[in-house]
Amino acid sequence: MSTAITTRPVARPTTYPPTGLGRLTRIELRKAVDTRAGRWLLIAVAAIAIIMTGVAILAGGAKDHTFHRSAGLIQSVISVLLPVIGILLVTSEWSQRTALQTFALVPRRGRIISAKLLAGTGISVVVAVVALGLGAVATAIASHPAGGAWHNAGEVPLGGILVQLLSLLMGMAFGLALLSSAPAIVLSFVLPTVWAALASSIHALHGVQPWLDSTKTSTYLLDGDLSARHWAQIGVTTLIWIAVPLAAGLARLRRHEIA
Amino acid sequence: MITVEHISKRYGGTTAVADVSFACTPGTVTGFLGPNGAGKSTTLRILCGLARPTTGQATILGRPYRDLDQPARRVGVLLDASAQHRGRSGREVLTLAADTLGVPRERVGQLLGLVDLDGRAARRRVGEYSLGMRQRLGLAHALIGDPEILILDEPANGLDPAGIHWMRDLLGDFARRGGTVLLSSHLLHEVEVIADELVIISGGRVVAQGSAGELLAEGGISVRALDAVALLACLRSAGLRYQDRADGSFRVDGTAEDVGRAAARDGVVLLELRQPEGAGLEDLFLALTAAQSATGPNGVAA
Repeated sequence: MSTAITTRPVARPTTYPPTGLGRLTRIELRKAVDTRAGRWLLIAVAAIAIIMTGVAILAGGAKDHTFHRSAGLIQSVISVLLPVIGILLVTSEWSQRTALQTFALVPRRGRIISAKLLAGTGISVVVAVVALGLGAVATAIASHPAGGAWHNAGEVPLGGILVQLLSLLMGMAFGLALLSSAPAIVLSFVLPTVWAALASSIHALHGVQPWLDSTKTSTYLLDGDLSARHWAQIGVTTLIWIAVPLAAGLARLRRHEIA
Repeated sequence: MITVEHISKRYGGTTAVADVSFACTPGTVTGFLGPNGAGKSTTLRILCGLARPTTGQATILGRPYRDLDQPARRVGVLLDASAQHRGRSGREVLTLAADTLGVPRERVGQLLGLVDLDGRAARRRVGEYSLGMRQRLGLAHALIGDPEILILDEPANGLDPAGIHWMRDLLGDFARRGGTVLLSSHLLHEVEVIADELVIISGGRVVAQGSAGELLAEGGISVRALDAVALLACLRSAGLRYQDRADGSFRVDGTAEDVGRAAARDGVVLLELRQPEGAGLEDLFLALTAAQSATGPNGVAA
């Protein structure tokens, strides 16, 4: 060990441009895949997508093998895992205590969260596109040549991308609100399910239930053919299950002591 | 330049830090010393914008840390060597930091070499590192932006004697080139050889601060004579204030010359006349540590 290259810590003019959001986003993407845990999570998503591709090919009659159905099947199953990716994108900073360095390097905490949101958006789009590709492969292999397999194919990509994006963002919002992996994972699964069960069994809640039930969002988006009312319901559930915890988490993070 | 002005931090009813003020100037190494739980880490977190003070303010280069354009280019920070992702390699940890700051990737290799973590060690996961290796990685991480200020929390923790010696050279060299270093420790002997200035904190309050030389010499001069009774009479007649120590020596308020001249005048044979090697500080520090372990649950220092 020598001390030769330490530094030149003498007085020097010093204005440095802050790190751009693009670079921060690339770094957050790198952080999502540069550990075994992160890589395995993505490998698990890919493996499940491939298994569901097999299911889509093998299950159902020849007439069922439309792009719409196959892609939807794959998207809906992997969308269950996407909140976990979103949660860990945020909470690993606390569980591994890297937040100390992350926010010492970039003290503007909102910028780090913005970069994480952009990285999460990127990941969800890639996941959705891969699932679409696999859906297309399944359709090409299993569909009946005679007809209808690619009917309404144009609206399938948008629905798939939105499903993965909203799933992942919901995970990030819960992660940011709780800053702890286990509670965020449990609550992001349990709360919407419990709410949906409660709302469907209590008569007084029937009117508001469709507006608050996030579990219906992916069904609507993957089924396609959405009415204005459906879009409005998706908007409201997104506001409640994503925007509210995200805003609460950001407000908390602003004052939060990083230790 | 680091300036801490009247910082206090309260958590609910407990006060972690109370009215702490000090400054660190370029070209010096400042030791921030205190028993565990004295408020050192809280103060350093406030300094680095990771916690907000209840009152007071801390600035680096005249501005709060958060308001610096690219703080890690000016200030290298190591707050906890174990706060690293266990699954990343040492090289990856530094690469992420280099990319964040826009520092060329070559610097990663140079710094890995500097802290002796190149080769195989760089490819190993941090989870497999010893505490000493993590400290060295943390130091490399703090240096990645080529800063002019270093803020290090317990950097010597986990280093072997050779590692401490190496770090002392590195930080001394950094300060000699005009850098500012603030490092904390709960062990006096770790800091006294490195630091030019000392700030001693206990129970959230600064209890002593000044140059290391001054504070270490605080005990005056230690003197022992063949005939203790004759020495006592000699010190009295010379008007020197003294303290009788249990081992037959005396601690005298004065210089070696004062005591030597008085002894020569009275023909007292001296066996020992020396600086009491940080005894004053040692006593103070031990008293602080003892007081804390008597009152606090986590007061076991060292």
